[in-house]
Amino acid sequence: MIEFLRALASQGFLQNAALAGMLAGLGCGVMGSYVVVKRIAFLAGGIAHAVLGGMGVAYYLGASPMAGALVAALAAALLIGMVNLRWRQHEDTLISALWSVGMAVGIVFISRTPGYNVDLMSYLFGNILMVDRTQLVTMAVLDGCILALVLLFHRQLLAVAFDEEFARLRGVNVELFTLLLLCMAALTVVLLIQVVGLILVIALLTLPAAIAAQYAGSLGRMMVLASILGAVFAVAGLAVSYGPDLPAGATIILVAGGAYLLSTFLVAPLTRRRRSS
Amino acid sequence: MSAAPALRFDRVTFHYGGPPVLEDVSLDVERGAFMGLVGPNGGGKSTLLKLALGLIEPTRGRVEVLSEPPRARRAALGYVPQFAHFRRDFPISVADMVLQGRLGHSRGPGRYGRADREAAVRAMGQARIVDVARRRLDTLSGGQFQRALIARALVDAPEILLLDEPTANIDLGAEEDIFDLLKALHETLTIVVVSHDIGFISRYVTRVACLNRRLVCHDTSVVNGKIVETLYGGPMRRIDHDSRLDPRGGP
Repeated sequence: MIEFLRALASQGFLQNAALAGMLAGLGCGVMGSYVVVKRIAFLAGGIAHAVLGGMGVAYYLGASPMAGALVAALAAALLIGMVNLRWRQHEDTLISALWSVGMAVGIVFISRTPGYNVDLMSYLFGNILMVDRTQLVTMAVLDGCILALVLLFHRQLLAVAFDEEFARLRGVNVELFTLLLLCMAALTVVLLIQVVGLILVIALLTLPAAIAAQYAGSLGRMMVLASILGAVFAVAGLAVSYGPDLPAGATIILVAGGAYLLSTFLVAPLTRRRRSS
Repeated sequence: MSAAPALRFDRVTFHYGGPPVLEDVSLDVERGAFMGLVGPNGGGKSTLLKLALGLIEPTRGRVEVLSEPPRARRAALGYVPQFAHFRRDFPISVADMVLQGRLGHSRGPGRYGRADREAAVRAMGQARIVDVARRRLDTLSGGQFQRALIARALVDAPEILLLDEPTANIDLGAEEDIFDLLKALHETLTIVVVSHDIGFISRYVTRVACLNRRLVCHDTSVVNGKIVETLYGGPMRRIDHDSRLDPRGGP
């Protein structure tokens, strides 16, 4: 641990990594809270995996993979949103199809791209230690967009997440806000890919929020708590992985998963007993 | 004086793609009525409410709310959905849930205003749940949660209140509380309440309509054994709710 702190003080790449972890924590705490209370983790998973398709195509065309990821994420969010709104009885089948077809497109395009594809693994499993200044700025901008939208439309998003039918009766444009919610989740997925990779995105999106749900009295407080937890898990995972040279993304997920188990089976039952007595 | 009815169903048929859920139902709910809508499960009671709310459109026939299409008069309708519709572990307080009834008033971005908060406090006062306003939903009793849902329906000052099985998940004492509350609200509101508990609601309502795909009866103020038989298609034992030994003792 001391070794990590010393390195953190002197090494620029570690400072970038820690900062990336905190920016990712913010996004995943805010959007993860919606994903958990609206129970759309499966939809978010579909978006995350479809992103590989966009990255593969961008690779093949020689464009920036992150731009490809962004376009693919938003397109997948809109498509999944339509499925959710129109064909809900076939939702799981259609999203599973998008999930795997998206990945397959990515793999095919990457295999047709000449050159050495070392980066593929880093998109699947993340590479927080390679984050550079441009990526940090991109992450901060994405966080800013998400926060601004949440502050502006929190009431509508909350109403759609809590009781869609009642929101519709009170004149809320349910379709619009459902699509907006999924697009924001898509931005978060892109934000998190750099840190934990698209395979592990779902864990970081759901675990901090699920822990926060056990203690928070409102969705707003749940977001704040989940953001703090997400940032702590990211930096703690980074610290744990540094000494023994473990893969950082996977270690972050293990830290979050361990904390979730601890909270669910030890801490939350205790606090609940104290509150009710 | 012939004021238009609060709700009018004119030869309404509805199906979700399969056999009809409602067939040729014509029913007027007068202004100021307190109507109990009874019938077996799957008899189309909830569907009738959803038609009145404009959440679904009739396959044939016409639905009017205060002589206009339902969507045009949604602001005049307060709706209390079924209990089972909710996940009680959602992190939201009673006050924040009640405020959602004001979304039609304060659209656009930003937070709820002072008028919204005052309306919420008023509605929670009417439903007598001000003391639990800051509590999370999963800490409420069934009766408190049901009254919170009623407060959410009242907050936008509706003219007509539609309730879907408001007493299905609560004990007898709380059930009486709910109906006493509805009785008080009936002084200013038209109320339609869906229930499968015929005996209980007939003590409160001014009119009963019995629905089992078709409208079986609709001018009755008292439901007798014969109607119950027609409605459920067989002889049934009716339990008289007035003959309890202890008025507070539920099962």
